[in-house]
Amino acid sequence: MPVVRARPDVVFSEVFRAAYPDILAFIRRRADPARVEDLAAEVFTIAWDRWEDVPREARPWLFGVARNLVANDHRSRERRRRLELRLGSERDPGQDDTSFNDVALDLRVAWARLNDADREVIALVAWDGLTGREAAAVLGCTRAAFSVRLTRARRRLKHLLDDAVDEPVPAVTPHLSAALEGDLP
Amino acid sequence: MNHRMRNRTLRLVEEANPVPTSGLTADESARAELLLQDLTAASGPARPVAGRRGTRARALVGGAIVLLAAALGGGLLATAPASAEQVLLQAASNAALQQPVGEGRYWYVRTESDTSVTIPHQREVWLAREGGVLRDEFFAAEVAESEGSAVLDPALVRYQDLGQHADVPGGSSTTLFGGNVAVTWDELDELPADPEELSALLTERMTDTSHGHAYDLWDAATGLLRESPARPELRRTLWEVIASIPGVTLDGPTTDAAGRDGTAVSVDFSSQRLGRYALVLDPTDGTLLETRYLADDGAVLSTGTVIEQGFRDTAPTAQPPVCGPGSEPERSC
Repeated sequence: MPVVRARPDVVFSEVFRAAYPDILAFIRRRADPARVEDLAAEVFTIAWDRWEDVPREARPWLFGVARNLVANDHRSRERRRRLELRLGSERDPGQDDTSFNDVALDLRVAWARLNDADREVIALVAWDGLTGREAAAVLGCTRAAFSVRLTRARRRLKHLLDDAVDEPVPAVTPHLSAALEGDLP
Repeated sequence: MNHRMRNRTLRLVEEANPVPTSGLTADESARAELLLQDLTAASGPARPVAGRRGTRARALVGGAIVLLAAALGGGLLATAPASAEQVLLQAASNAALQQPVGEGRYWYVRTESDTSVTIPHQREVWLAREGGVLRDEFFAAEVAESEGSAVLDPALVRYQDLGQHADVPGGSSTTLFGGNVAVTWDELDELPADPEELSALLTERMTDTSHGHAYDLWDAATGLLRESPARPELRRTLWEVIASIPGVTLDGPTTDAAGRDGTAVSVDFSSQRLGRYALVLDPTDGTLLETRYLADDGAVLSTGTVIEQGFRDTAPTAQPPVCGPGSEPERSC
């Protein structure tokens, strides 16, 4: 009996419709708002172009591509920012449009003090809704390693939360640019 | 709920999510659907896998129209609209019924081109297995366009020796067909008559242009149809390969620059940083009449019309370059 396979464009369309809102939100949390849909389009263009190589479980792979593209976008923006500074631009390059909304001050303080790698681990679970297995795939580590990293990150955040009371409030954004600098292996 | 979110610290962070995941707005949803359509219609997965290809079958119906049935495996044929596919496969079938192209020392092709940077002009080529002669009016047409003239300066048109690089280290005078697949004359005679095998072979040989597999295949198959002495069976297979490229659409009846009636099909490669490419063909005999490059609104930006093809026993004598030996032959001093 012949094996019946669904057409690639049909399967891709299903994956696209299921994952697009999540990928869009993932990028929106981390990238320049003006670039969000362009980057999302790039994620799925790469996915379609490499469809034969995309793992059967495509969702973590898509998040991994999005993560790399956002990291590249951050690097490009940083290069432009440095150039603008060199050229004496008066535009304030440090403004990020995304920030915590209606968040307790102690969480803002603690989050600001957390290192970028810890923030990324936590954000993948708490904001992006990934399972441990999916987040491990995005970061290119084993599920066990991710679990350890999440536990440690969570513990550090808790300690910082406990210490945060009465501390001055730094300017905080949830961007994860430093943590995104490394590509997936 | 992710079991990890039972943790109070994580729940605190979750509640501070700057962009909670939600459904798309109507505008976002519309743009997403457009993106999806563009992706799946204009290009295909880059490297079809042998196993998936192997699921397709070919059937001969009434000796007239060969139907390449995508037997549930999808792949190359999956997204080609049936109407464009039917026209191309009709051309394929009828191309195979034509008489062989004959014999001779040179394969002669005369084309007429019109681009945004030139006035209409012609290109003639006499190709031997090794070397050949080219007469190309492009440079003269470029100069005429820039000067606002409708007349070519004959002094700027030369018969160029295509074998002149044979004595250059690394140079070769062997005639190659098909653009980025670079098929020699001998290889041309041995190309497979099965579209899947031919597609696989072209894919294996082509140089990746970074514009995607569909474009590379289109470019190779079109190049072989336009400027090679392909035998009738090979022409059939080339049309079948083009029919298999995802996103090919039927544009309908048209007239080429030489006034011949034909049918246009096109494919949009704009997602590959290119534009829309069209072919004008005569489905009744499988002749490729014209290639076109189109703007997004369908306006024709440039054309290349095949006026004449056939074998010749002789070729004109090549002339020295405009600027003397060693210079760029087609350029002025």
